[in-house]
Amino acid sequence: MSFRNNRRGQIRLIEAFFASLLILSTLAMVPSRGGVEKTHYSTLHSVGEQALVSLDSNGMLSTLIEDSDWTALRGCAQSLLPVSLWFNLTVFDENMSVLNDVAVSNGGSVSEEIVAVNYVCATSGGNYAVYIVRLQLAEAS
Amino acid sequence: MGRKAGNRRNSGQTLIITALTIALLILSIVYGVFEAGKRSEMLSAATLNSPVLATKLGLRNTVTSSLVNVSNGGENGILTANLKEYASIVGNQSHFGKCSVLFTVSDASPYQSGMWISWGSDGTGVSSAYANFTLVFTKTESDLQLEHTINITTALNVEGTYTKLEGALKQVNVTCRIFNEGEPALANNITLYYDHDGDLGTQDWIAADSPTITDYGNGTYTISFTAETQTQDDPMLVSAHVYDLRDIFVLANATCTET
Repeated sequence: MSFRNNRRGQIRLIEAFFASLLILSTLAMVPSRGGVEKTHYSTLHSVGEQALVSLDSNGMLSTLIEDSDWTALRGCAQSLLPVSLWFNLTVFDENMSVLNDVAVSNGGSVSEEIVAVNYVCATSGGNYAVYIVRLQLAEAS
Repeated sequence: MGRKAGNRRNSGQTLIITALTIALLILSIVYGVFEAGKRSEMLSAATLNSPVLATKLGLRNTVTSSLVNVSNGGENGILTANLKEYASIVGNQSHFGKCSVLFTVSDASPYQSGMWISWGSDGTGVSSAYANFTLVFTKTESDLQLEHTINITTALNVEGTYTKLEGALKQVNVTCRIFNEGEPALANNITLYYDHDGDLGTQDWIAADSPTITDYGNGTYTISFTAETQTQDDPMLVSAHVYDLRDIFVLANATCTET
């Protein structure tokens, strides 16, 4: 009788061990806050990159920069980016001097952290130039 | 005694059910971990798509710009210089990881320093640039190495016929076909010239006066004009100067056949 009781205790121990193993592994599966933030950063980064690639693929980006047509550039960015996003675009030359003398932004306030996308834009015309376009993105508040 | 036997039977069933439940839970956790890992791998590969596309686009623009320059009188070495500049700037932008651009401009015949300019008298003209690239993307989660080739080519085919009119006047009909990378392409500007004495040695080209240009919208253009050569029997030599939509210049000379 006492022997059976001892064995029952061992089974309880094994059960408890498995249960704690399960609980720990389940806790490990719960997405951490860091992971969520990383996903949020990746999403914004991806949206920004895709917008810039789309604008550059038809030669529009380099043409607008060469013409210093910042109003049209803001309009293009506005049409490509979701309305729920705040953006600010800065154009640098190869020496990292700012080229746009007016803000290329949709204004408004920002609630979240700001994600910056750097894009290297090469012109396809006869006068070769390389520009660095920095697109800052955030969720609008 | 009967109750004890019943308890023992129930205890065995409970153990089996518990074991099954635990096995199921362990399996689902293993599957969950596997799926999460797979999703993470897919995410890191997907985040490289845009930088790869952006770099390829930048290289293409660089090669195109160099060809525009060379076809308009620039030196062949401009392709290497421009690619070096682009590679240096891209290498310094490390927001998504490190990107290295290694390139080789083609020196295989007919290319020289990655350029091939052939503006012949047989009715064909070619302006072309060719370079090979190795793109190396180094990211925290993943590395990627890509081999990439860029060939930008604008080709022009010219053929023409003419009919003798009064005196030294001739009615000339010329057909120009433009191609970008082997596909029909539109022209930005076409200018047609004819040789006054029908002898290429003297190079006395005259711009076609008020030509009628028909654009078929598929890269084919017909140009009709009246020409006056030095004598009635002079052959009709024409020269078509074309800028495509990318501003790449190409020309071709052709001898028209009499109809």
